[in-house]
Parts: sequence; structure tokens; C-alpha cells
Amino acid sequence: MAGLPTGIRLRLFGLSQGHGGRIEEQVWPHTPDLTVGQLWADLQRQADPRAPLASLQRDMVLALVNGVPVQRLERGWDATLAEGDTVTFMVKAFGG
Amino acid sequence: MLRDIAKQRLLHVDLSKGKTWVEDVPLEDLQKYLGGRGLAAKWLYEQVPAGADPLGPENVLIFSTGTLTGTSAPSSGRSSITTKSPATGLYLKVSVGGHLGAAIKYAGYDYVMIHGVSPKPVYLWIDDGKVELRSAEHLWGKGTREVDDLIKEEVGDPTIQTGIIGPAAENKVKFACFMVSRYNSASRGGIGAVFGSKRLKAIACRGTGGLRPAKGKEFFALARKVRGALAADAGSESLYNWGTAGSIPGLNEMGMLAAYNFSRVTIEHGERLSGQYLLSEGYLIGRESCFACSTACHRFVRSESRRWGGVFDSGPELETVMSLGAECGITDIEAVLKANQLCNDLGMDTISTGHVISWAMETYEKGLISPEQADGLDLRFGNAEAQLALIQRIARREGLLGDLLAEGTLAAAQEIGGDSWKWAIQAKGLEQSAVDTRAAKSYALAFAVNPRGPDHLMTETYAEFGFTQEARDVIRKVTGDEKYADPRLTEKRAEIVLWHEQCYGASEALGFCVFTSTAAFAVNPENMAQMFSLAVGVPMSEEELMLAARRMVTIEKCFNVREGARRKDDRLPWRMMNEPVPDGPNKGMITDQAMLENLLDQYYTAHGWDLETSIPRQSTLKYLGLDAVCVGIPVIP
Repeated sequence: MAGLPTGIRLRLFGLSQGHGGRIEEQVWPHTPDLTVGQLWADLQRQADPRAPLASLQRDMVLALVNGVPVQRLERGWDATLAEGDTVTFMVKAFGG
Repeated sequence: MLRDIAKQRLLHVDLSKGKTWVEDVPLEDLQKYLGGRGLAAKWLYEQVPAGADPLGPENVLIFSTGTLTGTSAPSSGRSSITTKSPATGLYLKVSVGGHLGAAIKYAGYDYVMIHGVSPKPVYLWIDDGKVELRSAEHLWGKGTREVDDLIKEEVGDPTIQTGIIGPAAENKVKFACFMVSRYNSASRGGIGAVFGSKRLKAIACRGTGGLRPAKGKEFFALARKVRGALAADAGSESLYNWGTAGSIPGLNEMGMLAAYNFSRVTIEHGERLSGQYLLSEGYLIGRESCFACSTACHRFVRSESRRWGGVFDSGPELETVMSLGAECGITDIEAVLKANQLCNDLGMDTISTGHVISWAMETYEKGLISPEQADGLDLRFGNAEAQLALIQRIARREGLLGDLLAEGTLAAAQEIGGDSWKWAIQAKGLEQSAVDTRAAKSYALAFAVNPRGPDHLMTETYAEFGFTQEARDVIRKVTGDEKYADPRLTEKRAEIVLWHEQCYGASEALGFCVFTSTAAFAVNPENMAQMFSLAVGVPMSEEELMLAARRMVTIEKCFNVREGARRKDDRLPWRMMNEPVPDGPNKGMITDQAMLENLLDQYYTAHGWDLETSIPRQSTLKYLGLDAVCVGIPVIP
């Protein structure tokens, strides 16, 4: 199975201490029935307490699964993730 | 000296005759049109005859302060400038922040209407009640920042407020702008070129008076309450932290960031154009508020780039980094900061400047602009050096290409020929904002029906994305169900656009920044009506406020109808209607002709406009009390 995606491709923006303006990428292990909300909660638990990620309310997070906002997924934050999905978390921004 | 807010005054300036006079505004007109942009639309209709040359003496410029500008109503310091656009030949309103509006208010005026053409360059100096036209011959040809310094030195007061055009406007570049309070740009539709055609280099003002609301105690209490709600809004915090360019990473991840002249919807390293990047990498050095604003989204940046030279400037805004950056395939933020500074000093709209250059880049890469026509510039996407050179040439109309692009994308495509019109991202002659509308149907409809052309600055339907509960509440209120907070849907888009265009219109007439009412939602039709009522001293309900805003939208439409615009002109750029989103999460999405026609049917029906022609019906005009105002257009019962 070498070469095929393993895990969840995680993209974080503006959530870690000192990395406000840069995309951080990592691979997160995929587990059965992992939801967007659980992934977010796990990330918060493991975060450096000084980082914005640790204390951010979920309402303020723009969460995207393969570029689609969670609000548009049928199960929202409870949507189940699949192997190879790309999940992006960033603080919501406003204004055009 | 305090002046009652209800007693509005219009200052007329006739540049041809060198005369000025003042007219009192009837209270019933203020109530009917809300003032600001609303009254300006009516006056433009009355003052400018059909077919008038936008760059000729018959056109007027109407600088309108908001009715609440100069008060403590939160973020109410904005002004509008209304005229006939040299880019489109149609109605044009631009909105601008800064402090000039409040200064004019405190000098004793609510509006300044500029008539005629001056025989020589002049600037208008308003010193409280004293009005003077001063020679600007020594200022002609100079950049906006230098002129700001020189005028302040001349009047001996560094605290005065100014609005200034640069060399681009003097050269009648079709997307020249008007720089207010040094760093705020009134940008679109070639507003600066109208100033240039009138040889009016600047407006400078010192105002030391004040304003008195009809019911001061209640007005100030309500203003304080709304200010508190605004400060607590997440949108305000985001705007303070990162400015409008904070939206870049989200747009890029969602595949809605127009890049490479809209041929792509994401760009690698797009986050380097973001407000977050400017902050974390140390470019951001300060923030500033427009008058009476507690949000302070306006920002200052500094760059010490070895390659591009030093920059100290305001912004850059979201549309600027998209247009001068991603649209041209450039993610070197230091180059974008330099391009932004050049545009501001030369006095050009960064949106249209970015678009004409990105159009030229695509046309060059496809071989329709030869190296000779490009005057030796290598115009491939991503070449920031060529972009900076071209900005200078456009502003001064230097060289074949510089002069051609100064006419805008539509005219340039007509001249170059071939299929180049298909990737000219314009409609009605105006370059579209850099938001990709193919996967956002309210945006698409709003852009198509926008009387000044396809941009987000007449109606921004941000709520359709439903990112916050407040946004979803708006959608529920307007459509009956928050399930319609989904930009991919075509149902209920007319209702969403109508509400937003009316909310936007009311905000601008009163002087509110629309970020407070259509990005954050703390300022809303209900409290706008209350603040108007307490300030002016006449009853105003939420419904009456929105009806007055609908009235202004209808006059703006009628202005265009009288110029010959019809349903066929309510269009999106060809690429937006014929080339599906090429990649990303919205791959394959499009607002094609059939879909747009359906959306237009919904919209015209909701407005009471004729479906075949889009002309407002007489019954509609009568209902709105406009049958005696909007004369000279075809009568449809």
C-alpha cells in the first residue's frame, strides 16, 4: 500500500504559538468513526496551553473538510472522516 | 457651534463660473431618502441629463456625508461620492472612510455638489463657513501624499482633512481614484477621472463646529449600546486583528480566491498575502480608526525590501492583495505592498489596476499581446517587476500598452481583439471584485444587478455563507429558514440580495461602515431606524428605513435605464458564466446563462420591475413615491 495516503492530512493556520501567518501541515492518524469534532477536541487537548488553539471556542473556528465548511456537511461537526481526507482548521475571519 | 442634524445643508460649487452657494435640504426629503447616498442618487438623476459625457461639464460630483456622520454612532464616519462613471457610462457611487466627511459636517455642510469644469487646476478649501477655490497649478502632476503635505503646509494646519487625486486622474485613467485622509481610497468606476476632468485636484477642509441630535440623551445611550454590541462581535475582533485581508486563507482553502486572472481559484502560498502573515512576519506596525469607529480595521505596514524598496503605507485590503497579488500570480507580499503604495500615490483603484494587468498577462501568455506591444516588458504571470513598471506606465499613459490599459479591460480587449474579451473579467465596463462568484449564487446575482458593475461594494451578501449564528439569523429572517444559508443554492437568492442591498443602502445613507451591518451584524435595520429617528427627530420604523433604501436602489436603476441599460446588461463576466470552477472543492460549479436568467427573474419580480426589460414598472415607482422623480424612462404600467 506504499504511496497511498495514510491518515488525515491536517492543515492548521494561525493556531500555534509563533506561527500566526503560516500553514502548518501534519498527518493525523485515522481511526474508525473519527469525527471532525473529535479531531478538534483531541487537537485542543494536546495543544501547548499558550497557543491560541488551546483556548479557542469552536464557534470561532473555520473547519473545512476537503475545502468544504463543516456547516455544509450533513452531520456538521459530527461528520465522520475518511482516510485521506484533508481537514483545515483556522480562526474565522470576516470582511471583504 | 452646534448645528441640528435635521437641518442639512448642500454646498454647491460651480467650477466653470467660480461661484459657490448653499441650499437647505427639506426635512421631508431627508426622511424620504435618508440623506447621504439616497439623496445623492435623486440629485444625480435630476442634475445629469441622459447621454451626458461623464468627463464633460454636464456631469456633477456629489460628496455626501452620512446623515449620522460626525456623531458618536459607531462606525458612522463614512461618506459617498456619486457621479456618472467614465468606466461604465452609468450610475456610480463610491464609499469611503477616513475623516473628511466628519470635517465637512463640522464645517457646516452635509453635501458638496461640484458642477462644471474649472479653466485651470484648483482645489476647494472649506474653512468652516468660508469656501474658496485656490489655484492648484503647482500641485498638478504630483502624487497624492506630496499634495497632502503641500496643502497642509499652505494652510498652516497639519490637522485638516483632505481628499486628493493623483496623476492617474489628471490623465483620465478610467479607474483613477480619490484618496481621502491620505490613506483611504474612494476607488471604483473612475471617480478620480471625473475630478481630473473638472481640474479639481483636491478638497481640503477644516471644520470646528459640532452636531446636535434631536433627542441627545436617548441618541447617545443607544449609540453606546450599539457600540458595545459591535465591540463584542467576533467579526469586529477579526477585523481589528487582521484587517480585511484576514479572509485570504479561508478563501484560498475553500477554492474561492481568484488567481491568475480567475483561471484558478487557489494559489500556492496564498497565505503569504494574508493579514495574519503581515502580522506574524512583522510588517504590520499600527492600526487606525476611521471617524467614530471602534473596530480599527485600517492598518499601517512597513517593509524594508531590498528588491522593491522601502514601503510605508496603509492597508493592504483583501481586494488589493487578491487583485495585485493572486490575480497576477504574485505571492511576494513585499512586491504587493510596493504595488499598493504606487497605486495609492498615483491615485488608482487597486482592484481594476490588478485586473487590467492580470488580463494583460493572460493575453500576453496566449500570444495576443506581442513583446513589441508590451513595450519590452515580460508580462508573464508572477512577474512583479513588470507589474510595477506597468502601474507607472498606466498612470501616466506611457507607451502603447500603458495608454491602452488606462482605458480599462473592456476597451483593451476590444482593441486587442481575438478571444481576449472572454477573459476580460468585467461587466458593464467595470472590472469585477476578486471574489469568485461561481460557487456563491447571491454574490453572483448581486454582482450582475449592481448598477455600477460587478463588485461587492453595493451589496455584500456575506450572510449566505452562514458562518456565524448571527449570519444564519439574518438568513432565517429574510427567507424563513436558515437552511438557505448555503451559497450553492439558487432558491431565495433574490430575497437575500434585496435585504442586503437595502441594508447596505441604509447603512451608507446614514454613514455606517457596512462591516458593522453585513459582516458583523451589530448595526441592523432596527437600530439604524431608531438612531435616525433620535438624531433627526422624525419617526422612522425599520420598515420605512428599508423602503427608503429600496427607493434609492430604484432611482439608481432608473438612472441606468435612462442611459439605455436593460436586462441584457445585468450580466457577469464571460468567464464566470462559461468556464466552470477549474479545481478545488467547488470544481465544476458555475453560474451559467440559464441560472442567471432564473435569478434575474426572481430579483426583478421581487422589485416590481418588468421581466423583459428590467425597467421599474410605473406601479412600482408610484408605490415608492418616485413617479415624479424618475421621469424620462419608458413607461411600463
